[in-house]
Amino acid sequence: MECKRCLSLLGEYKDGELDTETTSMLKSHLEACPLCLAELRSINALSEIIASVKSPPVPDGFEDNVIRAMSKSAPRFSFIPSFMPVFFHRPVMALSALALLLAGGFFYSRQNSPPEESYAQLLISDAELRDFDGEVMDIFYGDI
Amino acid sequence: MEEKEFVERLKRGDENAYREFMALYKDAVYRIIYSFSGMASEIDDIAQDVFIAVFRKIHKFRLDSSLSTWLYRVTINKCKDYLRKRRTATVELNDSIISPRPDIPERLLNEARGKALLATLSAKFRSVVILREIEGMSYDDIARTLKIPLGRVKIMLFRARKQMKEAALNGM
Repeated sequence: MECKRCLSLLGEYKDGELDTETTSMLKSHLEACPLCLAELRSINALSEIIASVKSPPVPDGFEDNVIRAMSKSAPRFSFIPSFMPVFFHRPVMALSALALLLAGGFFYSRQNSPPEESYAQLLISDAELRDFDGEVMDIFYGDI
Repeated sequence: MEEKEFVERLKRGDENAYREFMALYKDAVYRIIYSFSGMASEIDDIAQDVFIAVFRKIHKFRLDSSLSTWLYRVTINKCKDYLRKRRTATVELNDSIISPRPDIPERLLNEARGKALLATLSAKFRSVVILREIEGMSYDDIARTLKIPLGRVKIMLFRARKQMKEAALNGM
């Protein structure tokens, strides 16, 4: 094995991601090549330094805080989940649905006067819709 | 317990299932957030956001990946959102990284170096390095979590290591 090939595989070797045959070829090369061996040691050292990053401990009562926060900020529109699979993945469809709702609401209000409650109270603003859609897209299909 | 059954409990809004899930994964979520952001001050809020997002969207989860893979993906996306909002990869750098003093324990010094090295990476490279070096994931699991091809994981790790080595040699 040449040094160039060995150097390109050292990371995978360190991570145990190489097949048996390549591992054995790489080991043989390392026994005979101090430069590649030195490079492997620097990769190992780098790995140890990164792994030494330790987070602060999770505070007591974390679970309680999450449960409390969830109940505080429950979604305002209970009908949203049943609509989401169809409408909320595609902004055009979602906007069309809103337009239909608006039109329906308009005609309904003209035929049934006076309406008991304003349809404006039930509708989500375009900005809210875009935020929500963006979040869903990012979580499920986000390009990382 | 089968994961499918556990997911059903989560979908039903079973509070005990929520608590079990958080107890199982909160440490990993904290580790990822901390190593990603480098800041201790906002971990609690981001971690809370992660679990709330998962519980809110659990009805969307289709078991085509494992629950933990999905959780890690949500965690990394939340970290990226957080960094986008802050616009900078803030790391609490101090003089000790650049000119280490003999009274600082080696462990703390290494941790500071590790944070500084991670901060030199783009969010994409950082995600891969954290999942590999801190969470100890296999390349296959990283590919599944980040929804990228296996070959890309290898290339990203190779380039990230090269970049970190150069940063270390240049004194960061």
